[in-house]
Amino acid sequence: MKVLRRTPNRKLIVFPLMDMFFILLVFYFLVEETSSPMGKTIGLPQATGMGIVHTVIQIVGEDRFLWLDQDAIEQSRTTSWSNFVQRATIDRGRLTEKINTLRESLAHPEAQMHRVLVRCPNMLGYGVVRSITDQLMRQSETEDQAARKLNVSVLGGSVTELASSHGQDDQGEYLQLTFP
Amino acid sequence: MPRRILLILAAVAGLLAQCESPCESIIPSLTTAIEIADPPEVPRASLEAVRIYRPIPRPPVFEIILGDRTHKLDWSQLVRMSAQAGNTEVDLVVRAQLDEIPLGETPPQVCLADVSVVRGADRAGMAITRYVENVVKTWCFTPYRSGVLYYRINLYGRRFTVSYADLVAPPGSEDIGVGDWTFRVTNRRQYQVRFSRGSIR
Repeated sequence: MKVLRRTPNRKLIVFPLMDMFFILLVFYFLVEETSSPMGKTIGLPQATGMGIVHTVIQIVGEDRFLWLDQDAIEQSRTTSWSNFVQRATIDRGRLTEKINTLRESLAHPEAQMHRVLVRCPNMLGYGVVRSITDQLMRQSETEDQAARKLNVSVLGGSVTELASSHGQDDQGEYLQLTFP
Repeated sequence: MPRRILLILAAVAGLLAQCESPCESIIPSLTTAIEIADPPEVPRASLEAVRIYRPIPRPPVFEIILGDRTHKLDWSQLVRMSAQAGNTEVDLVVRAQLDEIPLGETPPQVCLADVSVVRGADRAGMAITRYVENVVKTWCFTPYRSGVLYYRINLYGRRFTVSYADLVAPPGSEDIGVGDWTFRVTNRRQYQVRFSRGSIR
């Protein structure tokens, strides 16, 4: 029977390990010096602060919408905000008419980019928002010019959370809507 | 053994170079650098607040081919004149002749001849009729067709209609057509410009 015995003179050979360590160290220094910095910091636009839009479509209910555009500046000035909201709330048919009118005006070759903000209460399904954005952005042969000039953003929030104020600065008279 | 000493020396040299060199030396990459520009700061919606500005009003005008002698039909002035005349329901039809281009001649543009108000002059008044005729006389066109053009200016309906049903292309020339479309000129209020194939006489 063969008995295994520990040989007393067996040593751990550390020199190849040291070689490997130094090779890796040299490799690290070389790579560190030749590699260019990865990535680039890009100043992304901020979505906070004051935004500028041309039209706000606030979804009030399944079939009730508040259309706020430049005409609302004058109309909301002469009455209280709650009264104005009540009077300016429209149904789906009227909303479709307004969207069609907007798209017709954007089909003009000299029409500028038009920014629309759609706000929807959280309790309503996204399908309501989708129906509006589809109407706004629908593509067709004759109207794709309009779709290209529309910039649509979607935000959550109900009509009761809207606070309004009027003002004037170097760009002209404005209606400010704050989302608390 | 010398190989190991060389490695140690190289590592130490690299370490010293890292510690002592005040600036980095970067060997340029072989690939082409891609420049990524920062996105432009354009107005956009925001999560906190938005403003809706009233656009700076410009008088709505209708322009044909702009030249030194071309006059614009200023809708605001028409509205003012009609208000002064006490008649806000101005509805004029203007007839204008586009002369036929003689064979062999291709002028860059032709102007209207024999411009006259054929309907609505009695109600609109002399001043508006004269103003519209003088403006329309200065409008010029690229000579693709010739014949009679009709313009209908309806202040009450905010409508400006151009009828080209009676225009014909010169024989033997390629007729590119004049389109058939409607658009609105938006400037706080909306004025509809309609191009009509049918007659508006």
